Amino acid sequence: MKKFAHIWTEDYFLLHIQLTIECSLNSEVTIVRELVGRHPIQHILKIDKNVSSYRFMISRMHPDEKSFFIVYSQNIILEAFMLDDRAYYPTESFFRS
Amino acid sequence: MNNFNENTPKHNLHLQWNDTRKEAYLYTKLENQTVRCNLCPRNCIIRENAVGFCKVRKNIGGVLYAMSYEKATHSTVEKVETEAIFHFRPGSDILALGNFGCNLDCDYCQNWSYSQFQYTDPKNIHEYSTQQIIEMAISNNIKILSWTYNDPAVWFEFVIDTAKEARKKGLLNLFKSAFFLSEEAVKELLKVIDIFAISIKAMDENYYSKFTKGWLHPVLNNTKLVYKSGIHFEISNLVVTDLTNNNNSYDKIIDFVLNELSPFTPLHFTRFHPDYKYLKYRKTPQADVEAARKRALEHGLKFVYIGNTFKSDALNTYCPNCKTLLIQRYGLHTYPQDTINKDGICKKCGYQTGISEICHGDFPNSI
Repeated sequence: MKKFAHIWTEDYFLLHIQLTIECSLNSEVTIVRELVGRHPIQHILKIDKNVSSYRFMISRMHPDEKSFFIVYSQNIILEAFMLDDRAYYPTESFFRS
Repeated sequence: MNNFNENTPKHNLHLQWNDTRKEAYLYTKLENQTVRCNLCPRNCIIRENAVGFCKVRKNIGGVLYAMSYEKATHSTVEKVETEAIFHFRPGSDILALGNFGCNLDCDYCQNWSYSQFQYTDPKNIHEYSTQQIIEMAISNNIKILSWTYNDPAVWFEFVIDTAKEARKKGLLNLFKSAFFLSEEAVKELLKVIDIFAISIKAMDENYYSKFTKGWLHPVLNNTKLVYKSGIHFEISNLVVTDLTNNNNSYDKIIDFVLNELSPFTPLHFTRFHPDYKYLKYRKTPQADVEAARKRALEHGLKFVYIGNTFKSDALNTYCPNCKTLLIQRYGLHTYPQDTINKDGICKKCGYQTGISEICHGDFPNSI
């Protein structure tokens, strides 16, 4: 499994995450939001084997949320894009693995 | 962010992308194989083998084609609040869809790397059919398609076709635009769009001419058409540092909304960030958009918000009558309180806010 971890800063509260699935397999991606003084919040994203690429916005959901990480399988390439505006589609990623 | 400079590479996608063109819906054939595009107020006269201002509508053999039909940025799952829509199904997921080219050229455009067609890198082109988009939304349990990013105005034919089909499957359509369109185009959109997010850049013709290369009066007329139609819409105004962050600018848009639309029309004052040809200006201070909001509320508008900030009371919805906090927001996350019911009524005083389909989550009730 691969992992992308991100610590929220005061300047940016949005990211786009793009997942490119390299071979036709059903895939599962786990997103874990880490909150101070609370239990982590976990979402599981299921991606059908017919989907070759999936993109979504992730935003900081609470002041107690300090960071999040995404765990994903080897057959997925994850790209992360920084946004400093909400109605914005960034094209240059700062992370790709 | 990609910084714009004089060495930014240019591309000619007309030579590189697959031919998925469709004949334009709104144009007039003229003499000598020339056409007049009727999509926006420019009414570009386009001779054979030439393109209009937007660069994605091309005259081939005396027929005007939408060359970017079925061409898109990557579809992206977002929240409806991304589009400066706070009063329609708060917290809903949307499938955001963008395209290439624009019929404006704003000096501070955040999406210039594909709204300005010549800078669009071929690697950013994706192809989706109408059916694929509908299937994507349905398989992800998304109820709203959002036509957004560059300006969906220039994607008119694909928006109309897909929106019609999407409606048949129970999906809704959101159109986020600077609304620099012909009246004829707006009337067609009114038939298929369920939510409009309208961006008014400023209330000043000289500003439009100088900084957007467009003009203001059609935008205002189109906005009034939407208001008269009864379709849900919200207005946003990008407050640009050293251009529109002043009381004169705030008052003009406040007066327009109050006098030509309604005091109940949601208005969003949104922060600018430096981009494209406007890199030397600082990001709009949060205090400026908060001041604009305060002024609008004092003038009588009922629902005024700020945008492109994640922490402020000015993101929240309060009951205009009893001032009770109804919906709290943090960034793009929405937390309806126990003080508002699912139909948008303040439980304390019975005021109907007009906010539709409120869904109370289980975490966290308050921030």
